[in-house]
Amino acid sequence: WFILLLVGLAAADSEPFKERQFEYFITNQNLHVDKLAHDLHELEEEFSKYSHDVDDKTVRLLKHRVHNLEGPHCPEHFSECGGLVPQCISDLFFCDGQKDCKNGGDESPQICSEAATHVGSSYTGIATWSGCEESAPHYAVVTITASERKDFFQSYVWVRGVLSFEVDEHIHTVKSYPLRGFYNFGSHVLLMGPERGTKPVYGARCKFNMGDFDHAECEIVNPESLHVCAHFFADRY
Amino acid sequence: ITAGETWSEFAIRQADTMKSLRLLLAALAVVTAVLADHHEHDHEAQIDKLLERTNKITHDIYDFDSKLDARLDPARIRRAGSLKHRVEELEEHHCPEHSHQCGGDDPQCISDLFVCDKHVDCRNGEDEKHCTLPTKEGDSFVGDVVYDNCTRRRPQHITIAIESVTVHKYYPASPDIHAHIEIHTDTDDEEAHASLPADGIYTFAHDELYLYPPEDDGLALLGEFDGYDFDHFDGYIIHESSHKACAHFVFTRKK
Repeated sequence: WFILLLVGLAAADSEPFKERQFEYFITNQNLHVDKLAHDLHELEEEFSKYSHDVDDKTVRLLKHRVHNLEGPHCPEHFSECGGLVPQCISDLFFCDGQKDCKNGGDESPQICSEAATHVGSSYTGIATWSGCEESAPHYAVVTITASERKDFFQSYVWVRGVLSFEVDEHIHTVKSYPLRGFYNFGSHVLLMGPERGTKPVYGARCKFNMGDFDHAECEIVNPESLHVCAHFFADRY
Repeated sequence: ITAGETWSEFAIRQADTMKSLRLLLAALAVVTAVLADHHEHDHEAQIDKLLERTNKITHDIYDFDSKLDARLDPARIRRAGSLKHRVEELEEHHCPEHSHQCGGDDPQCISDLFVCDKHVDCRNGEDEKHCTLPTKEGDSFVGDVVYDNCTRRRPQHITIAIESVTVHKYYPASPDIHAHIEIHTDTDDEEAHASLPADGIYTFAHDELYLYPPEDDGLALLGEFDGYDFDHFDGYIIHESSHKACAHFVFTRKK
């Protein structure tokens, strides 16, 4: 009918007719666009009803959980270089300024991030006790109070911190222990024992094995035997 | 994707949406064509406004289209599949030895020998759906060493070049592969190059490439694809007799 219309247009050459013709076209085309907009909107509505994309964080967490189950990938005191070709190098070689992995993974900024040991970092979770303390599950906190990285030995960050946990929610008894220890870049493990001159009661071990520095698997341990007294999934807080 | 729906169903549904999208675009083309014809009078302003609307809706349609494409991205589906495969490797094997899991929502086990034999054996037909050979004539894969406790030359890299593939008409489930294993070694005293001709087979049931020992040392090569990502595979050098792995290389397709 477009062609018919065009033929008609050519035949009737009078001005008012042309004017009406033009109006007709414009209105018509506007209606077409309205229809398109409407159809598109309906499609978008339908699309939005489907489940949304999973966010990257969830995927990363899932990948790390799978990876953790697939392990152990390296012998003790060795850690993975990451990347496609698996390679293990000594924990003492990570982030020391020298590339030891074939792919240079041991010096990558993600691995060598000091985020885990920033002063004031605090890791909190509900600790479930399997011994050492007669306590129902309560909050436990590991807080970093000081950190130092020696120029000549960079693969460790030496830290001081505090372990606190609640033992009774009614009278709010909180036990606190000053700790000192280190964080190793290769194993992503923060390991702390009793501060010098304090009674060796508890230590803490947190493994950042979830692919970021905001989640860790922490344990409250006996500092001598490393016997696990309690464990908690910690969030940075 | 709603629960209980497979990726392929999702893809089909998305394809329907794509069809409507195409119709929209076609209608749009008509609008634009008519506009072009009548772009002559003093009604410029009105026409410009209409054009602007048309452009905007075109833009919106393309936006929506790319949103759909992002969901259907084959690379993304492949990555998800690879992760799923890793979980499946961790899980208990549900099928007896020498049998194959049909997959999908219907966990059926069929014999390895029936996978990709041009005859549907799984109720869901999965056994005949993924039968594209990843090791075609002319393909080559470069492997980087992970560990190596047995090869004669202890190379850093191995290249596998596929020379020819023979698919048997009456038994297409495991094509014969003829390949060359290229080994370049560079030690302090000498530089050596070896090109070992090796015969083998590809098994669709396990997505495995097996090359019989090219030398008299009884060392064969077993390449395991994960079934989704066909640009990489784990290559194990194994003792032919015991099937014990003594070296591991990670292979990447040479593009």
